[in-house]
Amino acid sequence: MWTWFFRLASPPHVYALAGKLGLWFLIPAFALLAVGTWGGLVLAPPDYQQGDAFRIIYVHVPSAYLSMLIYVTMALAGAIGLIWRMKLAHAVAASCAPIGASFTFAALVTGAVWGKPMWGTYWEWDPRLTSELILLFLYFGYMGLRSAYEDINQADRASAILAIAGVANVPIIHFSVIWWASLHQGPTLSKLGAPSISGAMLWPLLTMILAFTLYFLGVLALRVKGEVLAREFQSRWAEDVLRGISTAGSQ
Amino acid sequence: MALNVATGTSSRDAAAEPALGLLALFWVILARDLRVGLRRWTDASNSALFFILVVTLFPLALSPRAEQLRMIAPGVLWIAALLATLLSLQLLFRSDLEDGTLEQLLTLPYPLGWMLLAKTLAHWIITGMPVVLMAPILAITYQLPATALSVLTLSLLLGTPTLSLLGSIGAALTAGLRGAGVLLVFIVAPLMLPVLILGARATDLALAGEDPTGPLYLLGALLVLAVSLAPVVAAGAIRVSAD
Amino acid sequence: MEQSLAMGGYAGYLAVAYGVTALVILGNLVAARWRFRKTRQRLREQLSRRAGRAEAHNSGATVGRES
Repeated sequence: MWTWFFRLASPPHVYALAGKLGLWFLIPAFALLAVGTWGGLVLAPPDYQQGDAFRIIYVHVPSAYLSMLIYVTMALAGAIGLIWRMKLAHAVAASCAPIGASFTFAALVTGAVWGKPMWGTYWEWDPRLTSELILLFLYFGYMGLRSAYEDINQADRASAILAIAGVANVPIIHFSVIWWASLHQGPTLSKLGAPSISGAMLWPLLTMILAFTLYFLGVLALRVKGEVLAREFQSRWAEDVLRGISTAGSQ
Repeated sequence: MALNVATGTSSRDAAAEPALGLLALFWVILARDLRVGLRRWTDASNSALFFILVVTLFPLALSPRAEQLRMIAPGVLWIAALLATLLSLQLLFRSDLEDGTLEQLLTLPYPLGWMLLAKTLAHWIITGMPVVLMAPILAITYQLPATALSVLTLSLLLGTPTLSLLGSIGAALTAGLRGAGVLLVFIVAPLMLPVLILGARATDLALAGEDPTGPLYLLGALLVLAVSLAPVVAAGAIRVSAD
Repeated sequence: MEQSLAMGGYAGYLAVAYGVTALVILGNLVAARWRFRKTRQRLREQLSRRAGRAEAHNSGATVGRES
């Protein structure tokens, strides 16, 4: 019963599949990105309070959501890799980090740009922006630790432990930051986010969230391909792939 | 000499029944680490001196006006305590890794997390406790009123062990790496932020004449959580580093 | 048309926000491709070096047996 699973998870099969999967995810992702952007910038009506500035929501919220989804994915993959000693899971975790960090950066920049017209300043110590900033540090720590180890197995296990410790801390950090902000919040502060979102505003947002998720899966697949090859360097099939003899998984 | 427990049990028969009870083992490791730590007293006093130095810098850089000092005191003292902890962490496992004590601990038939808890406690007693004891004295120079002084000390007493425990994870992850000082700070500082927020705010509330018990309870909860989980995680990390 | 393009005066902010996001999206794609090629290149070099060493070792062994 499990044979199909092992066949599916076998490195040569994953290597061959990852390239195809990348395209399968990326093509609909870009189609949905186009639809969502059109819907967000043109079709959605301007917000009655924030005017057209609210349209930043269509890139800010998906980026912020993705930054957190990727961190959780990374920690889960790391845990699976630690528990079941699965190289594939470690390859996924390693591939997650740079993608997640870049979307955390995007969420920060779009949040700051949104903050200027809304708060009159690019940076307000708003709990959500602050949490994103801390998340960026968590990503940097993870990538720093991973690159500090020369041995790939050690790097995999050490960074998995760090990701698990980090993900256990994320809710604590999040709530402490919200509590911290609630003590200091000025009365004029308006929060980022949509006040009462209508259907015409909502569907482009959901489309963009779906598009970003598919995009992440696509880029993840492309990165996993290289990671699997590096981890399976000693094996016969990897050698064949590198020599250009086989495209792997065609058997 | 490095660790008489290790030679005592493992040389006879590693697979045999542990010769020491868990509590006795805890005390032996704690006493041994305290003795070693006090012998290297310059290392130990460094974090306390660093704490004093950082606290001294702020009035010089900002202003010595009493009302302003009082306002920034909780934040400054907590930041200084956090920095002193970060500075001391690099020493947590380094000498043990260099002289082979850590490898001996790994071969012992005892739970590694338990032994690391004893080591972390010893580390906190040597580097953290002086900071906690010195904080009220330095807070007086910041014109902090007596009610806030006790809350500050209590929050540090509850918070700095949590910082050491969180730090032990980072120290374990980077124990085998050369020149990992900055990396260690990058790894553990974000994890320490909730403790910093709760500790500084508790003192702030006391300073404003409000009830600080809420954040103090939360600090206690975090300490319990860290005591029960952090040594286990650190043990996993040590196993990776020792490979 | 011009009015809708001005986005109520917020066009600049929108351009920066959407531009940065677009850069991140394209950048990730390029980085993933680039990293894969670099990894493959590095492994290929390692492979040819290993093959070279193995050959030298084999020839050394045959010489030893002959003498």
